[in-house]
Amino acid sequence: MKLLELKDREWTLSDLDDGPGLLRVDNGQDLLESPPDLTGISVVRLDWPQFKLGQAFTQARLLRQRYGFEGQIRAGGAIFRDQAWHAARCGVTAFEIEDGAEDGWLESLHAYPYHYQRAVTGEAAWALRHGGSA
Amino acid sequence: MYQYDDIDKAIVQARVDEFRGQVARRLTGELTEDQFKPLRLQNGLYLQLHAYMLRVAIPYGTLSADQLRVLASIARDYDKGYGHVSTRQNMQFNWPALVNVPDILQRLCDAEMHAIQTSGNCIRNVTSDPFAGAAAGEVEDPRIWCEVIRQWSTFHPEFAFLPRKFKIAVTASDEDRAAIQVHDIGIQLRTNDAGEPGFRILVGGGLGRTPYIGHVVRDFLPRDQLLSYLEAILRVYNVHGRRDNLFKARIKILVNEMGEEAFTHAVEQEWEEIRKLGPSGSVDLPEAERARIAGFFREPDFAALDDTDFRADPDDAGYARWLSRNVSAHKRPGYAIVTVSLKPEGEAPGDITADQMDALADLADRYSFSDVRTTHEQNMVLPHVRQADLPALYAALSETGLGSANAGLVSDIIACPGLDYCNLANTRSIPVANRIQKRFSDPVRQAEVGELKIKISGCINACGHHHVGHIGILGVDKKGEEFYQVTLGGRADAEAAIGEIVGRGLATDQVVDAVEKLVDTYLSLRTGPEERFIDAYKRLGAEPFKEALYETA
Amino acid sequence: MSAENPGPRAQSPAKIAAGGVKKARLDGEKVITANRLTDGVVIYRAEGGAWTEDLSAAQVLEGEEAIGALAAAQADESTGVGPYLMDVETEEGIHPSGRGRIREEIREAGPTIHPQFGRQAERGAA
Repeated sequence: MKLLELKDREWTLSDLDDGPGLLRVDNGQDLLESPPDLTGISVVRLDWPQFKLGQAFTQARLLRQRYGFEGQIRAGGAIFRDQAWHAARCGVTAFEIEDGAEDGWLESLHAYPYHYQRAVTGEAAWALRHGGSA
Repeated sequence: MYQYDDIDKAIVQARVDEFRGQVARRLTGELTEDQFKPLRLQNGLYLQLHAYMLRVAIPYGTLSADQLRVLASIARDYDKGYGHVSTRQNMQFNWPALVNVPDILQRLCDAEMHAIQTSGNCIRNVTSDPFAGAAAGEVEDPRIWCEVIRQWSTFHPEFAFLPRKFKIAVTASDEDRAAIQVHDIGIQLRTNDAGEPGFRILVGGGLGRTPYIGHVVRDFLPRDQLLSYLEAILRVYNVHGRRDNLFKARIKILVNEMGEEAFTHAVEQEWEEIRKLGPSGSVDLPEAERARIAGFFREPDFAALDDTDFRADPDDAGYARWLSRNVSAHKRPGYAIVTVSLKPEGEAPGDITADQMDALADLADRYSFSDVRTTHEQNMVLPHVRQADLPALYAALSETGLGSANAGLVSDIIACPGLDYCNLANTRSIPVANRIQKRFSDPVRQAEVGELKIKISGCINACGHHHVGHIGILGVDKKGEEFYQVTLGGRADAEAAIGEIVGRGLATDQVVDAVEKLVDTYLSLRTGPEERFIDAYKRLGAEPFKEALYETA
Repeated sequence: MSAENPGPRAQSPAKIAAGGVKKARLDGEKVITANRLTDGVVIYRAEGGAWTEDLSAAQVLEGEEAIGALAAAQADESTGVGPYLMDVETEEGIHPSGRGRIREEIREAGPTIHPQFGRQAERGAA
């Protein structure tokens, strides 16, 4: 397994490293009411036990937009490349991927030039249409 | 209608390219069927009994004449010469090959159409009133807000893998022609006491195996805050909706398990949190974008006409019946709304051939500002026809087999594809519809019976909306034989109600007799022709109908 | 509308029924059927693992042999999508039987409402 990670706005391949400061958040954990304890945490790993378990997309967005987490949000488990751009728009900045799979993941991450709605990353179409200001 | 700009075009084109790649990866084995399935479903592609089925989105049921011609070309080139209007205003093709689907999507894309999110556990094509922009009494054209929702929900990154599918309907008048009370979210445009426009929001309606009427979670939502409110509802659903049981995964189950009050509280609380992001983080549309989209739904260039007495004493009895059943009042003097029935006797309800599509497109160009609609009752509509053109339009429709004068009558049946096409069905639906049509073949008798909505589903998933049929018919499998259960008193209008099961299931050769008994009972008990079947049922209850149905059986 | 996602049974590994057919049992004669990946056409598994459009050319299996062949069919996704066991009787040729009989007859022949489509049309023309 490798890590495909957003560094200085570029997706970069590195070795997978479960160092200190990593917090694993369970797919079923409800983050609506309160955040996990993020003290000293630099990486939050979100889990897709099955690819269709989409709660983790909400978890990513809440970590970024409600709780202001600025470290790495990593996606692992059964998530596959065609879902990657959804996750990235929700604030995921790293993916655990199979060795040699990076070209496909990069293609999927760059599949869409525009987005209709505002999320964590990627300007909304309506903002572009009206001079970039809401 | 809405027209794509460069951004819309680039997004839909990217989708076509992405799916072309995904099909190729499936064919080489890089993608498993398990992974490919949600991807193809989110592009409207099912695998049915005999072939793949492609469900093309017709956003809020609005088409241009040219787009209808493109659908005709797809029917001709990739299907067996016909398409099928679904109960969510989409068009389905029953015979495309997987390897051709990327080319079909490209052809759609070139005509500013797509099949995005017409299936899968995501926010589906938003539906609306087929008379939008033509009927009187609208706050404004609901399609403005449908398009706003279409854009917001298309590839929404947070809500593409929900617990289950999610359907939204929007209407703008008190007369509900979009069945908003039986949708996951129903939205009614209205004004508050101060005259400001906004929305009433209903959540948790739905049909399927556990039917519910939606609850009002907000009686008035200011117009500019629609998207943040929808986002709050979807987020509560995505977090709390059940994923352990497919049959309990819809939002209606969540609303009823949490309780209406607790659910509403959770949504309102989430909405407050979302609003804390402030204008720089807001997901709501700026006024400039609302105005841009609204600009596409300005009225066509109506002529200043006077109403005519077009209903007075037509010579031809067929034309007279068509006028009384298929022609509705328009908001502008001198105009009318025409329902084009896709329910001729003996055909699959909602089917339309490629030649008929081309003919209808020509008639739309000639008589209705090139505007065509699809309806959830599986018919089509020409929304803006001059009253003076009605005789010529009727003649032209009749010539192409589209002149059935039966809108809202006993032969205007909603039926799912059933076991003739569908992978999930227990029983056939369409042959039952055809046999009922045949029994009530006499147009004079149909007119005498008056408005009667029969809806047939071939399994408990209720795609034929049987729960909200005045007479609902549900196919069930009994040890390998087709049986049918009858429900009564359902309706999908402003007084929406779930039909009541009247008794044990009927064998397939008893169904038509049963419908006839119900109709005869109604005719014998009604106070007069002005009391419709559903009114009589409301007054009398189920009892006299049950008695009639089971006295001799 | 036509289809929704299939029920949980569809995801279980040793599926011996599909669609509206509930509680199929392993007794009796079976044929493995699926839809062809490229165009969705109904196909049947013949001896040796090849697929055929012709039900009369299908391999009839029983018991553990049927389960074993089904597992092999499921492991190879390159041609047949969603393989499962259907009940057949073999009095005169091979014909669908059991609870799924109507469904399998329609799959084999084509939609009853459109006799001009499917294999029934070819037979009619022949």
